[in-house]
Amino acid sequence: MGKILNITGGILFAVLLFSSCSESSCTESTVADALAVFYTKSTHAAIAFDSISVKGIGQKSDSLLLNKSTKVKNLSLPLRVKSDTTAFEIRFFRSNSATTDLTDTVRFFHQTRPQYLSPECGCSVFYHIDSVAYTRHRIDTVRIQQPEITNQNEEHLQILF
Amino acid sequence: MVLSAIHLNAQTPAGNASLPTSADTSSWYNGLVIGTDLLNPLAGAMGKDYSSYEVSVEYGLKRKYFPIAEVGMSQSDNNSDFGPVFHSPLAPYGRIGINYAFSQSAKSFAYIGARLGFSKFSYDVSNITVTSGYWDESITTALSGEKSNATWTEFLGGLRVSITNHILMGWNVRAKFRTHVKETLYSSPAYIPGYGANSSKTFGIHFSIYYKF
Repeated sequence: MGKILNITGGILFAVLLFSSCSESSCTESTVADALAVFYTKSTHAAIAFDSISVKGIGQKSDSLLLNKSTKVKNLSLPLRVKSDTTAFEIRFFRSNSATTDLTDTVRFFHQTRPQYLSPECGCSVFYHIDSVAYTRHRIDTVRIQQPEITNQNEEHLQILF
Repeated sequence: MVLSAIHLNAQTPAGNASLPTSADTSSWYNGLVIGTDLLNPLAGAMGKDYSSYEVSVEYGLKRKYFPIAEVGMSQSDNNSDFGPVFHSPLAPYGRIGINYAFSQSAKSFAYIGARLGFSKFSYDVSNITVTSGYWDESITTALSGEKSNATWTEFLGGLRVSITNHILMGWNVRAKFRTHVKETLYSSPAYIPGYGANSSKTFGIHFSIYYKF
């Protein structure tokens, strides 16, 4: 009798537990934008700009990423998936520290790496920044801090003024 | 009910002299046992996204310690709700470890154990679609022959019952902890043969039949 109980109980226990296992939900980010943080060149202190607009060059509807946004300390820039080059136009509006509006262009040359994350999260796209070209109207220097752009929240670029 | 069964069997007096008894621990060699899991080969039919086929070889020492090796083949197919399709063809895996019988009677014993597991495998992922909302563009691509390997540890507990002098059946439940998995430049495997879904911890269940030489 004990043997039958053991075997039957074991089968039921195993099958019930086996069948009840459910898939977990996604716990990681699927967003991988380039994060650029603003600093002063002289003291390397973090700074914020009073009024900035940002748009992607070549974006089909000319929509803005930022439109005269205030107290901007950093930019989260989505790179293109169908091209190895992505360019943004950053417009610094006149403020206490600048008497005229100034516009700079930052162009990324990158490798695009489509990613399979997991069944729960699906796909994302990571990037490797090969180089960056930029104008120097308001910007002084753009440094690549972390060339690998993944779904981790990291500082990829430093923009010095 | 299962725990009650363990307790009841632990109290059963050893009535059959030809079967092992809890007091019979004088001999180091207690025979070779081979087994096969009956549950995981049916996983696909039970709605899981994998199937595994496995055999085990173990060696009884003093009727308490059972060094064991488990080897198997496993495959997986997973269709994500987000579109990508993961396919891992049959790939080998192995585990080594030991069971310790902490409670035994004439015809059954309960045990705990530990394993070290390892697997080397490859996989494909199709229909990988990535989109940039801001740029209003997307691409669809696929990965083929991605190579990976993994190691993990398992802690388990189970029960085994003698059906005849040579045939035994039993189940065990396993908590599994991934210690390493190789990710490629473009992906992380959805499934690890012998381990299960690629998460930091998971669990497994075996229901097996054994032959004792």
